[in-house]
Amino acid sequence: MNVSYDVAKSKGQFDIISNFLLLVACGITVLCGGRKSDKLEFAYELMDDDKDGKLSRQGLWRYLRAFLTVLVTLSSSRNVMKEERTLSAVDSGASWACSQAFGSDSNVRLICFDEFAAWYTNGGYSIIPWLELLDLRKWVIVS
Amino acid sequence: MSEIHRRRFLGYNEGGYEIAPWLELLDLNKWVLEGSTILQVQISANNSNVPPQTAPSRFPDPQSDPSPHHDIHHPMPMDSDMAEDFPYDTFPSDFDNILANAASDEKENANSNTHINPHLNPSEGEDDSSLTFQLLTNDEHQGFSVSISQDRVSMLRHLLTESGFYRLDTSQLCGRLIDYSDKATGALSKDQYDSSMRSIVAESGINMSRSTQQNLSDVLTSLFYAFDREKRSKVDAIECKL
Repeated sequence: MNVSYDVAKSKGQFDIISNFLLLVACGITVLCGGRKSDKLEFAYELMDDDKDGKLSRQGLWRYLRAFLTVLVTLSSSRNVMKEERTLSAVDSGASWACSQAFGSDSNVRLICFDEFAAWYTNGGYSIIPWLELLDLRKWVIVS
Repeated sequence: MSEIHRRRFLGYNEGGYEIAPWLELLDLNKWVLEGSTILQVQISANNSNVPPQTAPSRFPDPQSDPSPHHDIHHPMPMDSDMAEDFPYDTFPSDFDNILANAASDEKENANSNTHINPHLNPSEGEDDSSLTFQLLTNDEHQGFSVSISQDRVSMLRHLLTESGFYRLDTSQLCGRLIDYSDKATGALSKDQYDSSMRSIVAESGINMSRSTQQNLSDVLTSLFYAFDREKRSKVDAIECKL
């Protein structure tokens, strides 16, 4: 049985998805074809545990870290994610991006996809330029 | 944004933009500038022979984004094709080179596959053709530069096209992972992960060479373990210092 995630979700299957599976599923979307925006929105929904359309600070951190983990891993034939230095870099990069996306108001606890998209458009692209790599046509599958 | 407002807006995305294309003009950046004078607005739905197939994206990908404004002449960053300028440094080169090259491993140097440096400048002697992206942090050195060699990019291109991964969309790939996961616990073991990946390759209809299979296996395995930091195939409450 091979059903798509959407079909499975609509049927109420897979109510239980481990954090690990979520992270892998979110990150591995980097390998797919398709648009960056589609990947981002799909993964955002995937990481949205309570389905309120918003991610917490931790949720956004995990979301960004999942992509970053894959990108950094793909960058080398070595298993660089075994290295403490790389782990720290990935965690710090995701943490910094997350703090920037949420802004300076510590009372803001949640962020929806639209708000995240707006932040990216209005300058976030210079903070996490690596997000562009989600579109493989921009670096791997170049026509 | 309330749910009802969101739905209304999504209705715009699903075709409302054809009824009210002028709504795009709320973003002044989508006005076409010539010199310093606003002359006209181009909305492709009126100028293209190919009607838009999908709604305007909130993360536009102009290479393929068929949104009504995909051929705007002077797009803003999020509306622009960053593919053209991404491989090159987008940051000023005014950061100190604080630490030595992290990729001191001899094997790594021989392969020139990656460099992760705690600064924002490519390391000396780095292959100019490498793709470099900036990983900003709030560390003292402000971030890292991560380089990917052209050889590595070429290999990834080969693997993703030969294996069929590139022809999958996100839903298909994630669905496959979920299909093979433990339905009771939602866990994903390495064996289940491998099975899901094999099922994708098996359906690609392409006979990969043994070396390609091995390379693909190496990449997919390294991805799995990159997430499985504790080698437990699960992640507990993630420590997050935000």
